[in-house]
Amino acid sequence: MKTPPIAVLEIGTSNIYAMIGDVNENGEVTITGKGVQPSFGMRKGEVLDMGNLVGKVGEAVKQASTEANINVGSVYMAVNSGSIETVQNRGSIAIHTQKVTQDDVDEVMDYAKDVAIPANRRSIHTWVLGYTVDGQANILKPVGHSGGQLSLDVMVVHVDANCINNLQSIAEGVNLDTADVVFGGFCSAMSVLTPEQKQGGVAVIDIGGGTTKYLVYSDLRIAAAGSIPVGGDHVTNDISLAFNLPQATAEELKLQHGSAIVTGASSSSGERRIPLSDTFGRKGQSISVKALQTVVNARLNEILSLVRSRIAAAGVANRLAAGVVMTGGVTATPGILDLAKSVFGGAPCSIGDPATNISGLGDVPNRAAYATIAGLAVYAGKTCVRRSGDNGGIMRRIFGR
Amino acid sequence: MSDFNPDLAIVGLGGGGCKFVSAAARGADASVKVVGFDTDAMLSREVHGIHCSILGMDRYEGRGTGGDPVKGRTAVSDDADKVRDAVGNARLAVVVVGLGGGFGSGAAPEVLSILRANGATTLCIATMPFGFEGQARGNAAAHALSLIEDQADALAVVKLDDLYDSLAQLPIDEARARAGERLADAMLLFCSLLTSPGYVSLGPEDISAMILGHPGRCHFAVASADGPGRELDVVRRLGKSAMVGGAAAFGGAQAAMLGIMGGRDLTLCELGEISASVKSLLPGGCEVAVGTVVSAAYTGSVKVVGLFFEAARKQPGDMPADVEQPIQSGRRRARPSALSARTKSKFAGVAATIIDGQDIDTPTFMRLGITLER
Repeated sequence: MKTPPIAVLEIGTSNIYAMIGDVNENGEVTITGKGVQPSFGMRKGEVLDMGNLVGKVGEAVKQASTEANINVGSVYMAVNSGSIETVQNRGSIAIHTQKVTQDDVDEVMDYAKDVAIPANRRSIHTWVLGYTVDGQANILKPVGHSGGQLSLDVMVVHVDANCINNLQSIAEGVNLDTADVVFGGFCSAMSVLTPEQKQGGVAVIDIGGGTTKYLVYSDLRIAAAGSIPVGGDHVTNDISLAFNLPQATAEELKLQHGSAIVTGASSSSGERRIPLSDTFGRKGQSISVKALQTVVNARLNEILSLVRSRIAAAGVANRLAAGVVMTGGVTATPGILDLAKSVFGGAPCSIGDPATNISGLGDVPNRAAYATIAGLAVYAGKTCVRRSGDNGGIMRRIFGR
Repeated sequence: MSDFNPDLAIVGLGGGGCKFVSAAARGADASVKVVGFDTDAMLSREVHGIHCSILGMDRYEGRGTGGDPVKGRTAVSDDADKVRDAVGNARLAVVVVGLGGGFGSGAAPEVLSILRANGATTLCIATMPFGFEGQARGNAAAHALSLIEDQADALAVVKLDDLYDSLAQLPIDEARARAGERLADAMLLFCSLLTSPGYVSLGPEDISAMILGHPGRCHFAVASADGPGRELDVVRRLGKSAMVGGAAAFGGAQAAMLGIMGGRDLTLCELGEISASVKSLLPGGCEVAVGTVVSAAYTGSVKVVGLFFEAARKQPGDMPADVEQPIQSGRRRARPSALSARTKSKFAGVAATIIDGQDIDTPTFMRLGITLER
């Protein structure tokens, strides 16, 4: 049976993205419809203005539906909250028949993912870190292994329950069901990484408008993940407060003259001072490019340093043979890779391409900003193929055909 | 109790600031509020004569800030009501702080902001650390100064290097004691000037009006002389005062407040000579307000306290000098409109993000004490 199309939605702090795509029998997705709307009701990845967001989500979904010529009934949603945390747990069982069966695997998973998290939080992923059979660790597929005890190490990803509830409320506000909620950092990794990078050890850092998400792979397994409620909006706010400018002017300066490293001259004009427009009565005034770059550099350096310290705390800082892959809208800042290299001790750093594992993305502005939504589409495609093997009726219910 | 305008608060921040203002308390009558703030509960045992209020007790449990200005700022935020209650409705608030790290650097901008919001005219006297204390403290002090400059109506900067210059050959403890005495004496005289009777009064209201009329940087100077020719000596010493930064400070003054204090032996001739001599050092057109204090405590000597207001410097984002400030009938000029004040943070009103004890929503360059090229 042909897999029905998938619909994905990301409600970011800067923009709202909606996409629809066709899925082939291998779970690979081709984007057929896209919708983008500015987001005004989020701050640091959290919902502040539900009404505004519902309206804009509706418009984004409508854009995508029109382009794809499909009506959407259910969406996969990305979670970009800065409250994402992870906890590792181990579950162990006695192997019933001296050889591990699928029932054993299912049972040990039930134990492993049964980890206590605060009542106000909700688990959204349980990632397998590795199986152990009688002391032999790092087993990826334990079925058929001989032994007496089977253990499973997992990483449980949890988030503030209100965040999930708010996202689902927004979806309901535009008459959409929520098929699944997925950590945005995981989505970004799904879109930009290759299997070789995952094998060698790589960190994905997605710096968005409101939050920065990170995820580390080592030996094809997720080794660390999390989010920090700091992003491009903080850069803008820093500029605004440094020079006593309105937020909109600060954003404009950041986009036109900002740099992650301090060069003293504008990368776009080469000038050393930036005249301010006479909007808001600033005629005749100017600001130093060096000062602007200093503000931007300080904030981005701090963001990357925070991520580095989190990765180091997880014990995987020296397992990044494939280096660091940066993505998210903020990676459009000139000099960001040079800064990342200096923060990560010279590790190879690159900008990830969201079209690595998906097609049909097309020529979109600030491509890296699409990493999360594109990765969510990759996730949705694979999930749909897996689930359609379980129950084709679910897909018919989602799309009404 | 003084019959004159009592609306004066003198606020010391941190260990250094509190020690200076405790001297001022000796010259203050019961109508002047002299208070000190810190996070360190030990302070109240070291400083005498003033009420020391410990801020941020819930968060820091009476410990010092360890040189972290963010903690100083946070402590004031936590206990803003305590600051307001301690200062009351003072019309003029003089905030004394030692910059370079710790409570004073972080707390000063916040305290000044609270005082202004309460309707007080604010004069901040800030000391800058010694050069040998290192670039980090110097940068932190410079950054704190830029924030204070945005919040204080008037700011007088005293460089400890200049204050100690003539004491450099003395043993450290003696030099520190003498320098501390100089600044403490200056505060004592300033307080006396504003609260004691004299033939020409110069009270908090007058200072307040002068500050609001000439906001920005100012120089705070004090000199003393006795014996024959004291009226000329005291002016000469005023010109060399380390706090002023030398006679060059007079040349740029657009307004000055001069307090002349002496005993019952102070003559009209001496008053006239001192006043005329100081005015001759100032540029033409400089507005000068003179007040006098006569007290038996000063018999045999003459003392002069001065505040010299610089011409305002333009910065991007500053209000143009020719914008009319409305004058309300009676007592004071209105403050600049809140619409012309600082840009509001995008994250104001949103729950703060605290990581490793720092409010990450506060601009990084501020927390790191980075001085920006203007």
